[in-house]
Amino acid sequence: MSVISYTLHHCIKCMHCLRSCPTEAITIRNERVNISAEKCINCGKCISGCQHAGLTAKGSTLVDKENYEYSVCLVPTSIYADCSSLEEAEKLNAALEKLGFDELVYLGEYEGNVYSRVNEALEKSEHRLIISSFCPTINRLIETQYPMLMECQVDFELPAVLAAKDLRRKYADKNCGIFLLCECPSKLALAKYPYGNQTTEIDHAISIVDYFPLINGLRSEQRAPAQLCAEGIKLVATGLGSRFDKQILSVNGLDKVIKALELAEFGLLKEVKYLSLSACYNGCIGGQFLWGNSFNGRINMHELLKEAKPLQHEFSLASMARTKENYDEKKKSSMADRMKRFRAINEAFDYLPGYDCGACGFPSCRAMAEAIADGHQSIKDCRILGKRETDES
Amino acid sequence: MFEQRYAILREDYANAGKASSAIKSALKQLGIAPDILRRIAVACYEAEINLIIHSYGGEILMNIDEENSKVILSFNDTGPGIPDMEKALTPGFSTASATAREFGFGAGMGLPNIKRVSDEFDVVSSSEGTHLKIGFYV
Repeated sequence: MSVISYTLHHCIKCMHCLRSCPTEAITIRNERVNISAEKCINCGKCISGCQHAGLTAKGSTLVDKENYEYSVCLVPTSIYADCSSLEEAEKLNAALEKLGFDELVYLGEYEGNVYSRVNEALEKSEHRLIISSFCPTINRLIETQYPMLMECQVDFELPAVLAAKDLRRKYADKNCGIFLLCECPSKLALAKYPYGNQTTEIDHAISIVDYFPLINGLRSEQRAPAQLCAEGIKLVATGLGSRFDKQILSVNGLDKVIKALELAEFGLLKEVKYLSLSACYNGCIGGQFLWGNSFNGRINMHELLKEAKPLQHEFSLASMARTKENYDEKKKSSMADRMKRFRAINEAFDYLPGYDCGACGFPSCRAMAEAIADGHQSIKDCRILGKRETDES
Repeated sequence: MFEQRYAILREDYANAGKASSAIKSALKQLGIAPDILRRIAVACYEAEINLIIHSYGGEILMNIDEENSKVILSFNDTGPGIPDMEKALTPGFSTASATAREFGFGAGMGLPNIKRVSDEFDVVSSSEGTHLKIGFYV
């Protein structure tokens, strides 16, 4: 599922998006950008790569809460990355309370539980390498591109999903709408609306940046108590990277994550017992939908940590398990069919120039070769080969 | 039978692992099951590094035998050969150069590891060159 949408009249066909996509999900066909729902991991690289605001990721609106008898909003700890003191955090909370939800649920306790449980699991584990990520982008990256490493993933559910499950149980007799404030595009995919994730208890995902002007306008001298959980802050600001004792490697930034996963596939991270991954620099506080910058954010989080309380109650392990999607064995077409396609791809690839110029609308010659093998394109669509032909004649 | 060749240069540490990455991506595209692919990746990387460290250079040949559902990797070099095969197959034994060790290679687990993870293993060596052939049922 992709949460990225494309605006044709903003697009100047510059191909920046084509080059910025780490999973080759973007192609340009008939002068339009196509995003493959299968390949897209919602990292948002194309949104920041586009110079003309041609790509966006929009969430649900606040108006949607009118459809419910009771509305709850989940507030992630990373939203406080902008607050340099407890006072500011309390003012932000007062503003959030004015958004008009019947209840606000702060995710700090959930994030904190996940943080301490992963640490416990790590102490006990005999495994060679454990990979954990509370980033939907990274989880999808591993499932789609690094299936060999799926067995290394820890099975903890994301904090927001755990909170939504709890709320659904609590308000089972009510028509309750559960909203999630999202700090990045990938979190938008966690909700039923607007992008149609059917397997979730979160009803609507709201992009923080869309409501930034409103929230800012609601800020005043008024304060509401902030429920800051120390372990929660540690999770969103550092992953588990603040610990330096148990052969932990915390990698953030998608380019570096990909490098680490490539090495892990060859079994080359022998000394690393635990790999904590995040697609954004500085973890969740580096999310695209947050205002401020994540470098100041890190300092701010450090200040807030002094005011934060330790974890209040602990959840049982069983309630936190994540249901993993099984690797679907490449939709299991027969070996003969797969081999036939593989041959066709390699044949086309050998014929193509190998410049990865993108002029055909595909990000690389190999991606083009795949399209040729599948019959969507022909070798004539290669601009370089076409140019050579006209030059020769 | 599908065939692809990758050239390996002597002591080309800067490009170490590139051929293995290409082979890994190709086999991923073919949709080889993750557990088998993991073994292939590990063996291929070890063997590629062996070629770079110890040999005068050579090539990797990837064959996909669809009739027998087998991936066969051949590593052929032009010498100097493995003087004592029994020792080379002993875990921990290494003749890697100081340079190789500086790069973090040469723990002496190369051949034993490759043998452990592959389904078929065959190696012949003379001063003319070493020919390692490993097979995986896919």
